[in-house]
Amino acid sequence: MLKLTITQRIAVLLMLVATIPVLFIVAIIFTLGNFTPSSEVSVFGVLSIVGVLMVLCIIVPLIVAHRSGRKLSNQITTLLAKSTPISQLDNQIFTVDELERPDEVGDIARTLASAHKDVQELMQNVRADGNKLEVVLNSIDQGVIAVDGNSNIVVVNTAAAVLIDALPKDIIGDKFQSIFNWTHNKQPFHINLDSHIVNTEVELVSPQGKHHFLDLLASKIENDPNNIRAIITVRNRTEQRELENMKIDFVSMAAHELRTPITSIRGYLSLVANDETSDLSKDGRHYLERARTSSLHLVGLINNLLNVARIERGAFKMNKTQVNWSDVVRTTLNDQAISAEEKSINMTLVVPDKDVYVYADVMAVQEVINNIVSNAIHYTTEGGNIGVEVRSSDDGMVSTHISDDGIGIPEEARERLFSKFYRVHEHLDGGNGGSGLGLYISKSIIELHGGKIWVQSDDRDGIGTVFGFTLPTFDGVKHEGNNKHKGLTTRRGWVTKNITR
Amino acid sequence: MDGLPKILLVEDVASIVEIYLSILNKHGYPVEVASTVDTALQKVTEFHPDIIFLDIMLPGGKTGFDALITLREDPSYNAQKTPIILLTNLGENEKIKELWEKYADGYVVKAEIDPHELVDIINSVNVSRR
Repeated sequence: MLKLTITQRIAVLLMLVATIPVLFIVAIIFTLGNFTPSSEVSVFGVLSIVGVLMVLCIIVPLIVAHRSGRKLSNQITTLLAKSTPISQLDNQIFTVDELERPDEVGDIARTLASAHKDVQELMQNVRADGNKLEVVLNSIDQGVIAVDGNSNIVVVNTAAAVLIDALPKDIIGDKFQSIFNWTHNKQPFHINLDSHIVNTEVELVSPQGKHHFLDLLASKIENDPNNIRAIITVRNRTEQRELENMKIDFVSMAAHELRTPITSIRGYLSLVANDETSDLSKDGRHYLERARTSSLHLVGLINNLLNVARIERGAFKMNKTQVNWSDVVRTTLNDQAISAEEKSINMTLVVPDKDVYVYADVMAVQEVINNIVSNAIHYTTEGGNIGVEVRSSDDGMVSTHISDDGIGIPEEARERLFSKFYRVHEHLDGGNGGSGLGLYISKSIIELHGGKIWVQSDDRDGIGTVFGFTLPTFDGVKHEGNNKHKGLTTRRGWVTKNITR
Repeated sequence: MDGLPKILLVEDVASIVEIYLSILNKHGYPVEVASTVDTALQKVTEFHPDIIFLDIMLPGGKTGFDALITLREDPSYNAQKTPIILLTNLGENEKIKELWEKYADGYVVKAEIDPHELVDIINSVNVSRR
C-alpha cells in the first residue's frame, strides 16, 4: 500500500482542491457549446491558458503543501523527539513551546506532556517497589530463590547467591538444580519442586570449597500468573553448627577430664572394698559404699551431659546389634540390685518364656532401663516394690514395663516429664537427685530405635508409677552395620566381640 | 591355652595403671605396661602379649588409634590377630565405634566399670595363644 507523508498528503489534497474549479470552468465552457473560436481567441489559446492554470494548480499547492506540511511535520517530530525514549524520561521535564499553542499541535503537546508525567510517576512507583523488594530480599539473612516452570532461577537474593560464590545477577536464568548441588546425609539431594513442601537439612559445598549447612524449605506455587513454580528458602546454620561443634568438643574434653579422676576414685574405692586383708569397720564399709554410690552418680551425670550434647547436635548415633532382650534387662537390673537392697525394695522381673531378640544399641537401652529403675528406687519408700515385665506381642514390638508403688507423679508433671532439665519432686531430691536429663535422654534413645516411651501414674501415695517403652523386635534381616560377629558380650561400660581372629 | 594370657596395658595415667596392675597381678596375669605408642609397639615385639588393653589418649603425639591401625596393618608386629581392647574416657565415641568395629575386639569406658571387671573382660575375649 502506498504510504504518503503528511506533506505529500496535503499536496495531493490541495492539488485536488485547486484543480476542481479549473476543470469545472472548462467543463462549463465546452458543455454549454456557446464557445466559438474566434480570430482573437483560438482553441489553442484557451487550452494553453487552461494548461497553465492546471500547472499552477499543481505547482503552487505543492510548494504551499511542502512548506506548511514540513512545518507541521517538524513540530510533531519535535514533540515526538522530546517524548521518547521512555527509558530517559526520569530526569526530563517535558517543556516545549508548543504547549502554549491554542491549536491542535498544542493539544498534542499538552496530551504528550500529561502522558509524560503519568509515565514518569508510574516508572518511579515501579522502580520504588522494585527497590523496596530488592532491599528487603537482600537484607534478610535467609537465602531466597524463585524458579519458573523450566526450573530456571527468576529471583535470587544475595544470601542465596553467596552460597555458590556468585552474585544474584550472574545466576538469574540458570538452571536451579544444576548450580545448587545440595547433599543430604552425604548423598546428592534433588529437590522435588512438585512437592507442596520440602523441609530438610542439606549441605552445600561452594565452588571455592566452603561448606554450608542449611535448613532448606521449598514450597510449590500453584497457578502463578508470572510462571513462578516454587520458592526455595535456605537458612544458613553453618556458624551455629560450628559453635555447636565447639560446644560438643568442649563438653567431650571436659567429660574426658572429669572421667579420669572418677576412674581413679572408683578404682581405689573398689580396691579397698575388695581388700580381704583390710580390717574395715562396719561403718567404714558403709562409708565406702556411700562413696562408691556417689562416684557412680557422678559418672551418670557426666554421661547425661555428653548425651544431651549429642542429642542437641543430632549426633546421637545408635550402634545397633541383635541382642536377647530378656538377658539385657536381667543384666541391667543386676547393676541396680545393690541400690534396691539398700532400701529393702523388692525388685522382680518377669520375661516371656521364649527368647525375644531386639535390634538395639545395648549400652544405650541399658541406660534407659537404668534411668527408669534408678528413678523408681529413688521415689519408692523403703520396703516398696518394683516390678519389671517384658512382654512380646505380634505387632513386631517388645514392650518393657517398669512399675513401682512409690509416691507417683502429679498429672501436670507427666506432660513435661520427658523434657530437658525437668524434675518432678524438686523438694524431695534434697540436692542429691538427678539432673533432670535422664528421661529426656531415654526418650531420644527409644525414639532413635523406632519405639515409644510413656508413663502412667497417680499422685495418690502408694498407687505408684508405670513406665513403659517399646522396641522393635529383631526382624531377622541383616541390617547395614549389623553385628557380623556371632555375638557380643555387653555390660555397662564395656563390650567385647565373641570371636577368634 | 597354656596358662593365663599375657597382658600388655597401654595407659599413661599412673593411678589407673596402679589400680589395674593391682587387680591383674592379684589374679596372676603376666602384665607389661607402656605409656606411649612407641613403647607399646616395642613391648609388642618383645613381650608378645595375648591381649592388649590400649588407651586412646596417650602422650607423645601419637594416639591409641595410631597404635591400633599399625598393629592391624603392619604384619611385622605379628599382632594382627591379638585381641585389642580399647580403653577410653572420651565423650565423643563415633570414631571409637568405627575403629573398634573395624579393628578392635572391644572397648571399655574406664569410668563406667569397676576395675575388677577387667577379669570378666579378659575372659569374654576368646584368647588363643599363638
